[in-house]
Amino acid sequence: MSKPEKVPGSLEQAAQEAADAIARHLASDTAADDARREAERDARIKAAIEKLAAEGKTPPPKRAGPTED
Amino acid sequence: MARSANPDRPGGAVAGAEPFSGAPPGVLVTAPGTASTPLIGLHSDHFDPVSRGQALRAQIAREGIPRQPRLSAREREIETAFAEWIEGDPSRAVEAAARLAEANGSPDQPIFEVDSIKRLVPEYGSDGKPSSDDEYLFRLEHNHALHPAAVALARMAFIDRLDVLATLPAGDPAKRVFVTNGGCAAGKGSLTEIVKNALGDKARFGAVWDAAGEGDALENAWVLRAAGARDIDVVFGYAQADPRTRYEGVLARAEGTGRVVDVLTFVNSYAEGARAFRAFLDSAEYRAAVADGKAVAFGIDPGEFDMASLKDRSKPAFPDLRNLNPSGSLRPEDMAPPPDKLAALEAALGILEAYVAKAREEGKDPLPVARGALGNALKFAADQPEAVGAAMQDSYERIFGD
Repeated sequence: MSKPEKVPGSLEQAAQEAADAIARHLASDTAADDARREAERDARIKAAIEKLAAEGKTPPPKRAGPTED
Repeated sequence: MARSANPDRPGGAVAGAEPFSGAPPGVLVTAPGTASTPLIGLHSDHFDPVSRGQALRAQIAREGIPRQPRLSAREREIETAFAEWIEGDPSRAVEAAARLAEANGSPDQPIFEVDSIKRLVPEYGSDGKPSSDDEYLFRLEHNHALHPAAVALARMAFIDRLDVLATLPAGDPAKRVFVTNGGCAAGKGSLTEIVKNALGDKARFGAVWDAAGEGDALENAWVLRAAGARDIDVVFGYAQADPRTRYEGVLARAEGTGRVVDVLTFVNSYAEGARAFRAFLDSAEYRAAVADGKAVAFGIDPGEFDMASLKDRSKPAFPDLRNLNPSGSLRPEDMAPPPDKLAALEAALGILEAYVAKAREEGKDPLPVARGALGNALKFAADQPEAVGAAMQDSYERIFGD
């Protein structure tokens, strides 16, 4: 990926650094790296929902049993 | 947006589609597939972007969550329960969405993402992967029922965050937000992960709007107005991809997580999404923001994934990756033209049918995934060009005909 001229601290610099980081990420990360990050993110979200549920801040279960076919 | 007048509207005009259950009388209903409303989302201007979060919560308490015009009876039941939970206490629901955004990203850089909000629904399940067959089937079948309400919650929580960022002093590096764009399974998730993990302090953002592909890139002007009214800068990131190869990724994700995007919503996320994003980049509003140094956009096209990279780590995963705008801000002419909708649909249907055939060979039941992928899409078939509707109908008969 080519390197554009950047003005330090500018919004354009932020955007180009993001683009460059994405390129580095896609060029070096494996599927296992992606899966690990996704699992970590899922665990954080699950923990947050469990805490919300304990505080009564999630919807109540609508019904038990399997979905209708 | 209109109010429901006929709760007994007839449905099932397309063979294979379940009969429709009308929205409750008097509630707002969405207008799927119109210029400013994607197939399964909310009107792009449903909330006044300049209003404070408190006003939006009052709006929901007053008007309710807009409902989809065409859902099966079971989908309607799910939609109603989730919408009524939000309407019963919008502040509680928005707080839940905000805390999920912090868990998704971090307290300093929350990531607002529609799909994770669906996990608040107990039957959907709170984990990334379903913990039971019931959760798996629920996810496959009820994406349409949950999506508009989840969008509403994400937008309200995002506006609350912008209200906080607005209080930061001018020049604070966190006083900028990052917005993802791109079709379903185009690689937007990579964009947000990079922002969270790789950039560190180099390009800090006070929030990330991780747009669902289902939104067809129709929310960008809304985000720009919301940010501009609060003197917040915006970076728009766009992931370009060829939809003719990407439905495999959707089906793989469906098999693993139960999250499935139906074929028509998928195709629209590329065809309509590219069209909408190009129009946004060409808009006077966006160009003025760029000229003022308040907005910028970049695009990447990762190209196709190289399977050999899984075994040989010296090989890049995406050897054909390219930056769509090596300098300056992304322009419409930097992007590929919007893909042909029928060609993309036929390719996705071919991938779905190959998936079904392979699953059957292996003794698996592919129909739950196929119902989410194609059965769900048939509710929109009657509004599509004849060739699009016919392609879906023919595919449905090949898959479910026996």
